[in-house]
Amino acid sequence: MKPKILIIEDDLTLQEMYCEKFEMCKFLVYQASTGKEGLEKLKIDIPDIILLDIMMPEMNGLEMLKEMKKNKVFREIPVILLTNLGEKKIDMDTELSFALGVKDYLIKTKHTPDEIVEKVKKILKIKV
Amino acid sequence: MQKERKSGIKTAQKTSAERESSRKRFERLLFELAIFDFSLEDIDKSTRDLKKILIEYTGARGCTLMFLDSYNQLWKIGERTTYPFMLGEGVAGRAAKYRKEICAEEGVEGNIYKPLYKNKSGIILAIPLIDKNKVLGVLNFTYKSKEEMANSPINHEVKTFFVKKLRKIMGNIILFHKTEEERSELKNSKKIIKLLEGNLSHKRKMEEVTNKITDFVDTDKVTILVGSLRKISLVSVNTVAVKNRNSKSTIDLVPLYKKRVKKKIYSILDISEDFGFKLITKDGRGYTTIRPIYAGAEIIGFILLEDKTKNINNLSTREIGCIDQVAKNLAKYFNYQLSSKKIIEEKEQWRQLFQNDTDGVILLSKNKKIIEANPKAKDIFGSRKKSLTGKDFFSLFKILDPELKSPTLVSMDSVPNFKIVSERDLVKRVDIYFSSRKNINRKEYFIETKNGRYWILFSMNTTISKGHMDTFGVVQIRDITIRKELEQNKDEFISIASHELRTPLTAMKGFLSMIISKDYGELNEKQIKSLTRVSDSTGRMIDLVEALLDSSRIELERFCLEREPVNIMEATCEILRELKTKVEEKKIKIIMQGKKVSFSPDKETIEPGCNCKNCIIKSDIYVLADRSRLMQIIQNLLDNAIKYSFIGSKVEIYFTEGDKFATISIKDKGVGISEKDQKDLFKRFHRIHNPLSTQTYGTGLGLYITEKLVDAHGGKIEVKSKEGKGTTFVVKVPSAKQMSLNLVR
Repeated sequence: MKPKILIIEDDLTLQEMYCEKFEMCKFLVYQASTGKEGLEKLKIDIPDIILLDIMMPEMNGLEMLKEMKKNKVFREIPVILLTNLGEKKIDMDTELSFALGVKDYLIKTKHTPDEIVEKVKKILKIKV
Repeated sequence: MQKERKSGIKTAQKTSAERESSRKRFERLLFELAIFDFSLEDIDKSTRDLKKILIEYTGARGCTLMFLDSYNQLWKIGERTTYPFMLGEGVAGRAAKYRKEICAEEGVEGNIYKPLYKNKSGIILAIPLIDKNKVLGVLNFTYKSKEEMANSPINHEVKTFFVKKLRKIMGNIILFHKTEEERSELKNSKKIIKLLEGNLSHKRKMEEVTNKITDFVDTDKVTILVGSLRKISLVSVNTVAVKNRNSKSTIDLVPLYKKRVKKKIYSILDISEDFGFKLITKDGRGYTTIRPIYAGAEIIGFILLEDKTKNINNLSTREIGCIDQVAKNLAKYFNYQLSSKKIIEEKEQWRQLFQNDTDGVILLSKNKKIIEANPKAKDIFGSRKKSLTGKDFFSLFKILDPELKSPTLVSMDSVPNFKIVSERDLVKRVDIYFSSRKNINRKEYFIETKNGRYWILFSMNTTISKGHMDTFGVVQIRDITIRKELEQNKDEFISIASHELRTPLTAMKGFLSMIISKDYGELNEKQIKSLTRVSDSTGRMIDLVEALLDSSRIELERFCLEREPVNIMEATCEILRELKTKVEEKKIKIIMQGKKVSFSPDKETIEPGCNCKNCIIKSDIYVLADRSRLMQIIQNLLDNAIKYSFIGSKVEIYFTEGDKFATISIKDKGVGISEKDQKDLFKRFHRIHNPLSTQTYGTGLGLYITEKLVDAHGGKIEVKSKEGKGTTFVVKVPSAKQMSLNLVR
């Protein structure tokens, strides 16, 4: 069975890029542009892992995490946060996000899609 | 020798016998004086009686008792009509020798009388009668010869005692001699002083003074002239007589005065001569007596006494004395007026400077209270109408934390827009600010006063406190709000622009990497080569954008550190692994703590970050730092070291640990930095021009950010460099010794 991944990213180009990459790597990809949309997608199917952007309109990454925390099932899904360098210090409360089940931070400009796939596979314990 | 001594003894014996008798006589004299009742009713008889006693017991041929009045004139007691003595320069000269002597003896200054001199009647011994530095009078004894004088009890030995006894009598005599008239004169003089010191207008004062003069001098008109000799002007008249004040009479007077009188003014000691002069004014009004007003040796003006009928010679010396006294008072007054006029002018200039300064200026007392504040300062801290004097300076504003001044790009709903710095923090900051050893401190603060929020550049100058006990310093307050806003706008723009650039750059980099890794199918070698170049350039752009973002964050003070103990050597090794490609490209030899670092280690070398037993490197130096920022610092420096090294050269890294700081030094043997460039090395957008910098790309932000980051950690960065020989950067970061112990536990 294909591993399922939900990619939540407001920039459509990046969203497309990550989706393409993961599809190439034999993932079942769900996509969303806002936190709200992401929550909707969760209700349809539970992914194995979520790739979550932080800065988004309507509902940002952190707010979505808080919402997920309220649901017993959603709470268990591992999350990788996508961010940009230096932002996390100001944008996020590190402890809070880890408490919310965040597995890792990935800096978008620093990590190529390849590296992101690697990280995801590592977390899901899929042999590369 | 022997003979001389014998004769010496003989004379001594002789004189001692004589002295014995003279002492007896002297004791008798004291007794007589003690019982002597100086009758003030009949002063002539009393004086005669006193003289008799003095002559009888001193063996002098004659005796004169004189007293000195307030106009420095000597009067013979009992002979009031005799001409007075003026004690002036001439006498002073003659008395110079005696003055020394008497001063040493009596501990007084300014004694003026010759003790011993000869005249037709013989040798005169003069004894000044001094009371509290003031010469009351003189007692003269006349002797026929020196021998006779030697027999007198009025010798050096007993003189002082004798004088003391006489003082009281002298005092009485002087008091007596101050007649009703003179006493009122004295009062007048005092009145004039009071008048001149009073609050009347200058014109009124002059009018009053001229009126006062007519009170004790019988004259028609009094005029006071003041000014320099060349340019003298009429300051006041008390009669209508001189209405034509612009008539040349007053000006003509000057050369005339100079010609005829000035000479005599300087020889004024000759009392028998006229000391004023006659003048017939142009309008033919009559005689004028002119008295100079002296300020020191300089004539600063004249008092003119006009009388149609009265000749100058008819003025009594007493009257002249009175006028001179007034002149003295006037001189003081004008001197003061002139100097105070200058002071007022100067004060006004300073006031203009102070009031119209476009910066706020506040004078602070030692207890930080406001002594004076100018209008601009009032605009910022209070209102123009109210005085700030006496207010506690630091109660007038709060220092705000600029870090959270405006919402950042991220939603900051949970954080209030402004964070007021805690009181303790404020006190600490201010204390540091004020206790700094430098005399002038400059610092920018974002503050809130009752009038609003300002960015202020405070300049504190404490140099002036040395002279003035209560003045602590001057605070200059420059409103830099507009400048700061512009700066912030600029930084905000950089921040937004670079942030917006990131997403497309990320997409470019991502897609490129996918193409290059053949996700979309096979590529030929040329395609891969060009695409790799595109990808590298994208990488550079990302670096630039990140650097710009960092620098704008630093400028906006919008970054914070999350400090934790970080193993500085481990962190360095991590960076070395990241730099692997660059190191290998340039064939740089990395030496760490003296050991060669290699990415494919053999027996001689070590692997970065390796912790095996064979390693000399002990990874136990912990620093208190924000891990990612510390890595940024080290990466920047290592990056530079590699960038500016020649192919195949060495880069050495050393770590040391002190009590408070751990040090990392990075030494390269590259192009080096000229002394001139070293000064600006850490400035924003500064790039050095050297052969390698044209080959390598850079933003001019790396070292700027590095320094700011080191600074934020409470550390220090230093550079040593020689052009063509290499550069060493030394970074000190607070050590985490205690923390690392805890970690081990």
